[in-house]
Amino acid sequence: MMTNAIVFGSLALALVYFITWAVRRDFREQIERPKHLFQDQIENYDNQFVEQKHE
Amino acid sequence: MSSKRESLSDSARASTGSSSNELVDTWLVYAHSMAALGTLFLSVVFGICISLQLILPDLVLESPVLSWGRLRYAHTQGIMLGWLGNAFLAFLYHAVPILTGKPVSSRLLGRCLFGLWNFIVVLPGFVLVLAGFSQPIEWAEFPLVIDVFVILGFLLAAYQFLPGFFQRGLDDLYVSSWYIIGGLVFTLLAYPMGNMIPEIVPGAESAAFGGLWIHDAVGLFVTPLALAILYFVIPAATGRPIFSHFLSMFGFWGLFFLYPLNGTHHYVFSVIPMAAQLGAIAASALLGVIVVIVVTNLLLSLRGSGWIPKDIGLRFVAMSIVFYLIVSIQGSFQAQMSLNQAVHFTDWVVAHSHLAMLGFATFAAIGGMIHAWQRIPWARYNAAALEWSFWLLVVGIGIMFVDLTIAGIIQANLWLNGAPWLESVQASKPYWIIRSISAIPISGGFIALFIGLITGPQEAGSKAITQTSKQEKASIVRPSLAANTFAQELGVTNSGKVLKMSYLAATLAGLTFFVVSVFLLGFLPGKVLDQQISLMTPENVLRPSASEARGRAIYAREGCAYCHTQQIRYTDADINRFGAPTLAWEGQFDFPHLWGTRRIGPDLARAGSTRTADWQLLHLYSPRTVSALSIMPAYPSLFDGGADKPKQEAYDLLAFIESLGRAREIAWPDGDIKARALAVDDRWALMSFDAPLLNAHPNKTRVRGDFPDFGEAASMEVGQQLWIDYCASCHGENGQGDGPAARWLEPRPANLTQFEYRSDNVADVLWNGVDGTAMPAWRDQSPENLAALINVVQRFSLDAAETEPANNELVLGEQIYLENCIQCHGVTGDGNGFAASELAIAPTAFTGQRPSIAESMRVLQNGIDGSSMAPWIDRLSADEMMAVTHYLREFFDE
Repeated sequence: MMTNAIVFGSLALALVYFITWAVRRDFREQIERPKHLFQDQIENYDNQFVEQKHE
Repeated sequence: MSSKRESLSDSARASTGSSSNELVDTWLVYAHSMAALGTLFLSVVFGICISLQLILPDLVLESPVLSWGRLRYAHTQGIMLGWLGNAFLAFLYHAVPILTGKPVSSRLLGRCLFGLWNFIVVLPGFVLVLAGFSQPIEWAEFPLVIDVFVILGFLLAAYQFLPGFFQRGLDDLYVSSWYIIGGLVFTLLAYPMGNMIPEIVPGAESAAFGGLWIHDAVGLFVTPLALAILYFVIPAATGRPIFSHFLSMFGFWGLFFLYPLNGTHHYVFSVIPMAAQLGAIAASALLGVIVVIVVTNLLLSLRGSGWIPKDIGLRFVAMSIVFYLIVSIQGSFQAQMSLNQAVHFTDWVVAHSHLAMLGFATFAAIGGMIHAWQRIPWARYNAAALEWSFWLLVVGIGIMFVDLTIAGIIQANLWLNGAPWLESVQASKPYWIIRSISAIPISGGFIALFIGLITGPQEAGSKAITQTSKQEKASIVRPSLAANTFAQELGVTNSGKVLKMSYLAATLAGLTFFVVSVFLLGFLPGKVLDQQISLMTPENVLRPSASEARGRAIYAREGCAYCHTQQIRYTDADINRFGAPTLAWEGQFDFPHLWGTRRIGPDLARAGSTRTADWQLLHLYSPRTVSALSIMPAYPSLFDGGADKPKQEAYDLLAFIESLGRAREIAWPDGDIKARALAVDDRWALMSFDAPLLNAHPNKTRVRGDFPDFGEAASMEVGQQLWIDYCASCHGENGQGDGPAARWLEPRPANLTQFEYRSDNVADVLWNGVDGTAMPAWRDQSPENLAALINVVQRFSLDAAETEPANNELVLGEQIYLENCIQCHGVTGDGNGFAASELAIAPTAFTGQRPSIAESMRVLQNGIDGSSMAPWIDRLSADEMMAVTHYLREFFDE
């Protein structure tokens, strides 16, 4: 019973997640957005750091 | 697309609006990094001492402070809270302001948290456990008073780091942020659960919560923060986003759902309800799948960086990913019942835990630390030393992991084959030596890391960013990858409003996952165990006495549970070696449980009445005096200068050991029969009731008279080596009863040179032991070994040239014998006089062993200390004693 709950619970959550990703373009966009934002944040920070270091 | 990218950049710039110097409190990054390295060195020294004591057990003989168990406590807590705790805090002080675009809540609070963590938690924690104030729970060894401050520390850390995420808004939260939030919040929930609940629920229930915490410590504290570092450093060092944020979030939720559900896999084949065990096993397998997805995403994010990235921080991170994959797959497999029943409690698991903490987590922590360090303007940076650090650590940890894994397989094989316990210890020694040697490159790697961070020019770190990393980005990363093709394909927009509420749902889901895990693997099994306890507990079960309770505290204080489990598992190997598997009610007075997670020594669940008190005391005082091959630490501090001068603590510890298994022993067999009738549907409980022996300990003495035919003997050389290894401690190398342990034992070990022995008599003694004396049974030895020992014993006899007695001497001897000796030794000298059954130590059967004239005279004159044999010197003349000596020697049936 408990094993079934864990296995099928995991599969259900994974399926919902993957199906949402497959059918919702806005979800696909939104879910990938943070990595680009972070990339800009980290590069911005590094650039500022290097500039300050050279000043 | 370019306008979208600019929009994103603007947003990012806005979120890191402060200059880098204002944003990150570099002093705190520096301070926590240094504290991490300081506690790391201490923890590694503790670990090396532990490792060396396995091969040199008397290394710190006189010092209870440095005894094996206490150092083990300090080692694991030092690694988790001291080293990784500080390293993670250093990383958080660097990463959180960048992720949130805001400084942490308070610089003053940062300094307070630094002081609290190091000077109220870690250092006092070390002092307390080494002084003997501890908690015998895996990964929770610091005492409860320290736990209060750890929880306060996590609360302060949550206040310090989390508000920035909420002020920024949870939309577009990067995966590292998710892991940081998850790690801090869930550790705050899991830590009190794992450290405090085992203290208030008994035995198996306590173990269920303890198991949850063992995995939560790794899965909710260490792994999330380590993964936060991996996801942070990779894009920063490679100059391009991770491969898929979708997969990273899939991994995040998968890990947070499944990690807490793994806990009970630490107690597979235990009395914890099988439903919980199977659930944890299934969750472990699923977790392996999730980790493969996580690692795939991380490795794809590293594409183009080469097998060995030039950026040293990135290189540590890349290696951490490799370790993470290996350790997770290994973990998923070792939770499966077929492998678990073999390798559980062996060094295989020690290899696994070291690969997790010293491989995966430590490499991630170092990667994050170096990454942050490169961005401290005033910090020194020595790239060459860091290169050395990397390679030394890879080599050292690689050697340790492979070595201990092989050792675990060998131990598992010997345990399954029922070999003598000490054989597995002996077989492990070469591997323990190699493990200790692996400490050289590991220590060298950490020293090189320290040198790398405190020497070298101050601008070298920033050069590493501008040169190494940028070169890497320019030369190694393919333009097509750097151009963010995935984003172009998707067409990143800011229109994703549809799932804004998902963050609230996600928060609730996370909390639900944790609550579900505690419910399924802690509370629910606890209720089942409660029912089982109330159903099966025998009437009038004995509660521990005050002395036994004090002894238990000493046992816990000295970390005995780290070498001796107190749980006989529901496996054939355990049933054959130790007896009936442990039922839930047997631990109902254990707060917290002492089930243990490793067997360096044998299980002690039924240790009571297995050995004599003087043997136990001598074994505590000086283990190798009584058992030459033992590697158990000595505890002379429990004595006043000798095994015969125990302090109250030694008596208490002895009382506790003697109480182990007693309740079941007293209840059995009637108690088991009654309980069995109530447990008709409980397949696992029935397995315990149907075990052939309640206490199958191979060295427990049994009723004499029944023994198998040993068959062909092993060679004399094998027999002599066995004699030296197992017998000479008491009987002496030449069988004269003068071994190093002899003077502490009552009655003294027999002087075998003074007897002639019939082989069946020796076989009987070897198979059953001599009840009431320190002579154990040797049922774990193979039949051919036992036959070889019989040959060795028979060769000791110097009795061949005795003179024949005169007839009148025999008549006088018979008269004296019938008047004085038959009550115990029997009319026929077979040791079965009418009083014999009342005696703690059975009288000698002269039919099976013939004493020499000198030995018989000695015994008649002096008696035998510790037995019922009194001296006869004041009642018999010398001639009478000689006469009875000649008479009793006639009983021997060659």
